[in-house]
Amino acid sequence: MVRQKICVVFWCICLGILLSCTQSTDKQTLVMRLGAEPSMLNPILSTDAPSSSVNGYIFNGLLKVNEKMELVPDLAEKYTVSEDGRRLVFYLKKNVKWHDGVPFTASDVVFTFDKILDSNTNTVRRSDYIINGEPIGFEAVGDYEIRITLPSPFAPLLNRLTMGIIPKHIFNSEDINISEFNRKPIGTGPFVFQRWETSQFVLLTQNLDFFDKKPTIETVLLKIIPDNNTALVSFEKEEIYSSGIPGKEFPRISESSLFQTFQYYDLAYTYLGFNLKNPLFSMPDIRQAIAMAINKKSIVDGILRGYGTPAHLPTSPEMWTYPKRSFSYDFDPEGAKSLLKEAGFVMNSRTGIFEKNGDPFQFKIITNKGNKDREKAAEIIQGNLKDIGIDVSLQLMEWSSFIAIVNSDQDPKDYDAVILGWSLGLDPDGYSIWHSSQYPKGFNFIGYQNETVDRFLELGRVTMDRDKRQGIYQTIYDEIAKDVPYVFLYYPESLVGINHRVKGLSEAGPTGLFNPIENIYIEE
Amino acid sequence: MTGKVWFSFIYLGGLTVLALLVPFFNFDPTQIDESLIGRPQAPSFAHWFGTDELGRDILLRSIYGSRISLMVGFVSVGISICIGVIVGVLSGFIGGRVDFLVMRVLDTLMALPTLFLILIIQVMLEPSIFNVMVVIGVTSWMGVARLVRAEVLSMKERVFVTACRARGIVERKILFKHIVPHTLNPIIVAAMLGMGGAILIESVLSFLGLGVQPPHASWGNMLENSLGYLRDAPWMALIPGVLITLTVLSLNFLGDGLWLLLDPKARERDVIHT
Repeated sequence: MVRQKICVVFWCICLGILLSCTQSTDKQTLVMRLGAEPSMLNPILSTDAPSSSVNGYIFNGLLKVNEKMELVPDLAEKYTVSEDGRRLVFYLKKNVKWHDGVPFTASDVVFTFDKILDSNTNTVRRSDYIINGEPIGFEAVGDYEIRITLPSPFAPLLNRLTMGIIPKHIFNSEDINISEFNRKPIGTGPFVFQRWETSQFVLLTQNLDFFDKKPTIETVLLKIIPDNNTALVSFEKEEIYSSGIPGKEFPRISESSLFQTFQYYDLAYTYLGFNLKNPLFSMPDIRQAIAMAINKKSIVDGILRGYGTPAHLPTSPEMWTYPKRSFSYDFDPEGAKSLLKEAGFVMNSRTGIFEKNGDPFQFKIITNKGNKDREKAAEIIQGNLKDIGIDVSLQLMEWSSFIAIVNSDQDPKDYDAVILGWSLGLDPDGYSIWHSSQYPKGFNFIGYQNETVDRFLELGRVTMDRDKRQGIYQTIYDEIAKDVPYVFLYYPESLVGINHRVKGLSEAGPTGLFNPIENIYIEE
Repeated sequence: MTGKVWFSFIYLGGLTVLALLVPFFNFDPTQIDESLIGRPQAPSFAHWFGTDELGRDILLRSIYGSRISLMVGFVSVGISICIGVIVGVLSGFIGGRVDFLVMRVLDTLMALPTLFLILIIQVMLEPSIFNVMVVIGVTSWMGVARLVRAEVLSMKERVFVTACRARGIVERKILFKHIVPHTLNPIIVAAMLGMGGAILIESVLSFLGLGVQPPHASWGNMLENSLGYLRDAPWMALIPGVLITLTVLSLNFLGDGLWLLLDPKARERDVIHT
């Protein structure tokens, strides 16, 4: 009898725990997914996507990008640009408070950019604010006015001013690189940071003092779910409200009335990059032969299920500089073979592999493990190249060791070819990826060097006129496409599923759907 | 010999024969069928085990995978037996302080989590099947060493050893001619069980992407590949999974069977039990 009573009490307790667990998800709680653990919740230090997506809720920049990909004032009330484009004045909003109640002023803005330019700060953003060796000047006039002085006109500047502003009164007396506030941030944004449980979740709540329209959402719960399959299962069980959907599941999810689905092009492309310092790839003809041997269409149709387009240029079809007609090497395995023969390679009929001076044509492609599309694309490329007589081996690497090879300071770097992708900013400036000064330290890790491209990249940064810039970038794209430093593989389409209860979404696009967050609400 | 031992024997024999013969035929397990990319085909007459997400034949890949698994099993167990026997025999035969020291080192090594050790080594080295075999071999000899040492310890107290000594046979000869051959039975059994373990570890490593690199097939990376397709192509996961299970199970059954066959004491016990 006693035992039975204990049992009943036990089950009641269990039930109580269960009920209290489920309660937290009603009302206006937005449950989202983070694809990995954020590194640091500090916009000037972090480089990874999970950190930026959390920072987006907490911090504001002088300007922000709206759902139509336009730049509009955020912390700024308005701004003026001088005739020559070298002096800008920003007038700040006056009712803005940090999450701890301290008023926001111009000194915070100057502090943020000074910290980025300070060589003691571990940030990769510094080169974004330095033009031809000279830093951009930021100066506070009174509490609510910022004067920006440029050494020369700089087209990407306005985009760079979307950088989240950090609080001076918090970081002034701290070493910003190791400050504990990088784990419990204080910002000005629509949501206030509450908790970060390592490898579990980040919790944010509504900012009641927000200077702009207050969000309807009361709580944002960001669950850390690294595995894509697990995320999809949680999404279908309605435990998270938004998830990327693999191409092969997209039609099935689209049919369900529980979910809304969206497809759009991100500003991104995936490529096969050659180590140009490797003598094997020094001749453009060889790279062209490889480009012609790869069947991009079968990658797009088979792996992406048609949710993407074969790529030919270092940009995106969504970018305003994307040309109507572009230069491309089309799929032509026979042509590729004859190019190799012209370059002095001889087919060894026994092995079926091209040889030069007795050395078989072989190299290794490395890519990061975990991105299934890239892994499968690598296997198709390996098969395509074997068909024309090139022996390729693959290695899937864990992200940090992969990046360590690509980002190493040594010259030449220790790899033959990589499969990677770039997510692009809103400005077409490709200086950091293609300019020869960005090797070996920098994003030009393949060691690309082309004087014309260098010159036009510099010109593109200081030209303000949109039409002229379009012409400049088309020249750059053509030049790069002809050189084949990368084989551009595909522009992936983003496939996103969102729970039917989430309303107030804006039109799908690289900056859309949840932008502005203030409009989003959960329907009961 | 029971039915399951016979089954294991036939299964492993068949698998070994297939694995040895398949390179003589002109099949390519990495051949992609462009028309089938992204649409795995169910088992059919043309593809007995179906095809995977790149249109490759799963039967062929399974057989090539068995080459990897069996090779890893043989080579890594070979390495671990060599090291284990040498350490075990010397430690047991010399005895005294040396034995004490060696056993403490063994205890320490056995306390290390082997799988994590292998993972760390594989991350640092370039993943290749050669590394996998060496690493498994070098990290799994401790059990064999203990087994052999125990056997040597009991053997060297036997009367026939005393008899040898009385006849003036040199110690080295006693060790290699009279003691070591008596330890063979437990070694063979341990080898069978060790092979099962090694095959499992290889599968785990390949599953985690630290073993056999694509496009080459191994049961582990075939399983990993199937993850995104569990809903629409379950055979992609089922076939390598069943093969791993059957192979490891067969090795264990065979190990048990051999133990019964080789160890008279075990046979007696078996008779009493039944």
